[in-house]
Amino acid sequence: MTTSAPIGAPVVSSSRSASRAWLRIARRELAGGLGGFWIYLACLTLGAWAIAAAGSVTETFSNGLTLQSRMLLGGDAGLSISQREATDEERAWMEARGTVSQTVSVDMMGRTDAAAKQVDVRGIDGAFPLVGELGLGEGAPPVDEALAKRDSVWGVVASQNLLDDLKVKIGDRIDLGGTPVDIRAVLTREPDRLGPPGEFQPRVLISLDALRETQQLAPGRLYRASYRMLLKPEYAATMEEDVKATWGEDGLRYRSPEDAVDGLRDLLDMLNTFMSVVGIAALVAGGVGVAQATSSFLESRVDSIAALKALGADAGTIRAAYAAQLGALAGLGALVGVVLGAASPFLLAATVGDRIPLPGALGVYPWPLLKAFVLAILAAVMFASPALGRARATPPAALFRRQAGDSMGKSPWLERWVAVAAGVALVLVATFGSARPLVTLGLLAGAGVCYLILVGAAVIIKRIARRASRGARGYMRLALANLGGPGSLAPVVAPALGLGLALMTLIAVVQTNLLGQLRDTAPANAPSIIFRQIPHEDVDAFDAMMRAGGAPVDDLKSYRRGPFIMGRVISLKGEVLDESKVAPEERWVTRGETGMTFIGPQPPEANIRSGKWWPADYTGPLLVSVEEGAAKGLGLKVGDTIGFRIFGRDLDASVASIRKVDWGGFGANMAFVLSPGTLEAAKPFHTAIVIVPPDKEDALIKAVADRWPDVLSFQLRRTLETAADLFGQISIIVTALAGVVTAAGVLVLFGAFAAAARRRRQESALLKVFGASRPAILLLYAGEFALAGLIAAGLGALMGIAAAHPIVIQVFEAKWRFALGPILTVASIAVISAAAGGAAVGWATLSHRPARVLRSA
Amino acid sequence: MDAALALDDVYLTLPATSGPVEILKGVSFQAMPGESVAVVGPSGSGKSSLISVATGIERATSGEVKLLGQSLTGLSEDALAKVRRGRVSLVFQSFHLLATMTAFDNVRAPLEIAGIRDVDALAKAGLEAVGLGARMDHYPGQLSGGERQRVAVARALASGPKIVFADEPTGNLDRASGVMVADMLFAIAKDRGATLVVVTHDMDLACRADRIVEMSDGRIVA
Repeated sequence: MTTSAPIGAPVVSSSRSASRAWLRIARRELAGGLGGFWIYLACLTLGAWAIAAAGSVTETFSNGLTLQSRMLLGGDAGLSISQREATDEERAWMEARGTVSQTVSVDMMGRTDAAAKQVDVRGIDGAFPLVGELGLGEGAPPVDEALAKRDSVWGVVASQNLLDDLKVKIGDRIDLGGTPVDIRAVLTREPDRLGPPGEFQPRVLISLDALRETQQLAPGRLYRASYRMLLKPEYAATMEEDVKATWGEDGLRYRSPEDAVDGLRDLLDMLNTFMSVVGIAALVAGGVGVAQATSSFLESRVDSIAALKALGADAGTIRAAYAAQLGALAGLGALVGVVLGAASPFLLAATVGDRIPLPGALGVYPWPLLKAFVLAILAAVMFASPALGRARATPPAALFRRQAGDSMGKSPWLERWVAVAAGVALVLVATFGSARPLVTLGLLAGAGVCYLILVGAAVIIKRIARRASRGARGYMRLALANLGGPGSLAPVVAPALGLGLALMTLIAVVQTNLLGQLRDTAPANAPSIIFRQIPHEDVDAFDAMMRAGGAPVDDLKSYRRGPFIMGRVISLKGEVLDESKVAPEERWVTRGETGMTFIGPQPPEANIRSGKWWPADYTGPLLVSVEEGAAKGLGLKVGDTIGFRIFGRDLDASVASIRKVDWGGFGANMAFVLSPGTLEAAKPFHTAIVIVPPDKEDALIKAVADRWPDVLSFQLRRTLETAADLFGQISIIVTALAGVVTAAGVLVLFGAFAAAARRRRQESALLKVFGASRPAILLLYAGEFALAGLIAAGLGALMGIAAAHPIVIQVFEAKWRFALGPILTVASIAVISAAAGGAAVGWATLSHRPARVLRSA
Repeated sequence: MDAALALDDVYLTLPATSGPVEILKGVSFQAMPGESVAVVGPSGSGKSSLISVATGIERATSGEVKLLGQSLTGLSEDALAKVRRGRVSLVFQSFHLLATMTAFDNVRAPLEIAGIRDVDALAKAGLEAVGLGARMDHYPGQLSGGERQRVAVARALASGPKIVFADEPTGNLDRASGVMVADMLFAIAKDRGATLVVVTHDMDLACRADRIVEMSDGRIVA
């Protein structure tokens, strides 16, 4: 039986039907299309994409490294020692635990009659490599044949750049550290190294027997012996403990396959942290767009909301209906971003995969995708909630007093707290979902502070513009009045564009400073050539040769020579060194051996911060001058003792002074400088640094190599050039990544333009009615938007410079130079883009006939 | 004496989804300098379109419009804007104030576009004349409907225009506010010697004009 209500009687809906009213409203409104929501979607998609892509790419390469870690180590375990080979006892211990392969790394000079070049020489035994295969050029003989001694001459395989530098080919004979060798093949791949061989310095593989026979591994020579092992299963789990228990700290350093990829993984984690923060910054910058799009959408629904309320809909129904729509759209935007992020490693592999030296394990990694999705949703909640609250609180009376910009009041506290809670949750998820929580938190705090400054600045700018408009005239006043009045562009453009521009400025300024350091400052102060392994007894002859070759030997600013010793820190203040207690950024002085010298008179660059230098003719107990950062990292002060192992002897030195080192300056820039006397009897090799004009470098190197084949000469200028080029390439990538935030800002700007184009139709029509010409209206909008862009660019540049200064001075310890060019470039692009956008807005408004606009408004 | 406004056999046809719609059908009409004319007629009779065409913000499909002695036929948008600049003003039913500007700035805007001197003094005098001297720094959103229309009247008359068009100026106001706005509009226009063309449904308002013109179905019928 069916019943119907009599006409005129109130129809009371069931509670179930009422509870679904919000769903029906949401569904009907969504069915109307996504008009005006593309900015909302694009901002969320962009942010989610950046975060998901960063995580997916990192996982891809991190897992790739894990899978390849055994190959990158060259076995199941690695042991290494400096300046000696393993003793018979050590070797027997290793062989009892598995298959062993030995390699030795040593620097030598490669020489022909025409040229000389420092070479990374790697001596290998017959078992090398235990894992993977060596790559040799086409038509090469097997490696053991290539390295064999033939007609009393050893063979080598060399990287292509050695052949290029020395202008030789396969079959040619060169001098390697005083020994003639034949080049029998080109080295194309070493299984335990990433990238092409010889990327930074030419490489040569030679038989270990050849090095032994030619006395390259004699006592006093600087080399490192490495042992790779394929372990018997029963020793695999306890190898590290066994090494420590059997050999203590006595020179054998253990490495696991994990250790082999730790550095790279740290680098990936750092990159992921940076990218994730870039993604979150994009979400924050884009969040302005989300807020704006939400406000615009809900503004356009004020009549509907007020009418629904007038007809009996409660605030909860309104909130649920619009939250459902916004939530569905946020889900869609985040999902698209996540899908793009998941596809990014595959896209990367397909496009530039062959230029990335890291092994990748392509796949879909759910955790970074989930993190990106959650962060995007939280950003949407954070930025959309206040507008949703305003809509929910819209009184039915709004139907009767509509005027642009005033139809929605303030957001209720509930939605404001929801926004704050979403913001806190976003920070927590980002921080604890990061491999480097503290760095992430610090970067997020920085981005948050910048954002708040920009929002605050926008409020101040509005006030200033409003006041300035009173004193201004003509179209400038109209532009300022628009900027200072309701619906001003400043609160949208300043935070959205300013954040991206701050990041771009920061990167551009740091990049310019460091490139300047590498290309101008460092080459001006750095030695042209570093000569190493100068025999102690030949130092006077060496100085004479330098003088003859045009080196200013008597000028302390252009030439230095002194003893060079390798030593290892073994104790601090009487306690055995515990590396975990050393500050991570200073562990380079305790990890393995570090270079030292001993000097009598105080060198001019020694900037003593505490204590004092020893007398020039000092011969007493061993003293040491410690570099300021190293002293801090090791917890040392004047009077403390530090234990070194030098030439196999354990020596205690008392800290006589702490000094500051200008790492970019010319001089004995070492963490430890020892007093003379104690070590002189060892007659160590000397090292010399010299600044000569570039055209004299090759002749000087050739002359030294001819006289002392074992003396190594290293051209720093070329390395600086290579480093500058490499840094230039890296900074392009970093700038591109940071561009994601700017892209979000530009998206928001487009949204602002689109919204402005709608809002300004009436204004433009009225101005035409008042008699304004079309060019004047275009100029007005271009000027107003350019002004907003200029303010955003100015604020962004200031914040970028403020953030870049400590990075350049404290992190990179480089000299600060004001990089006006890049700042102006970034700012100009922002201002011109904004002006063009303003003109486009003007053009869009002018395309509507004023009579129709005014009639429909 | 030349007419301030002269329409001669003006037709206006506008496109619509259902096909072109003829809005004005051969309208001929004149308003002399200093004269006030009320245009009355039912909704859809073409009254507002008459103002649009007369001010050049809508182009006549055929016929000739002469505004302040100048034919609008064939003029570019910018040339039309120049004809209006400082000499022609409009008051709209829905006010059309610039929401981003204060009342004072709203009144100043057309004066500045016209390149008139002493903009601030004129704007201030205009607002004081409509009784809003104390609310100059208020934004439209902070004013009542009647106040907004008074700002619109001040804006229309501050530049001392030769001719003022008012489209249902009291249509959105309560009776008291409507009377106040009408009083001001007629008084200030008369005081400044401006021609006033008022489109209205309100016969009380129409009766205050020197002459009443009635429109129906796009034609002037009386």
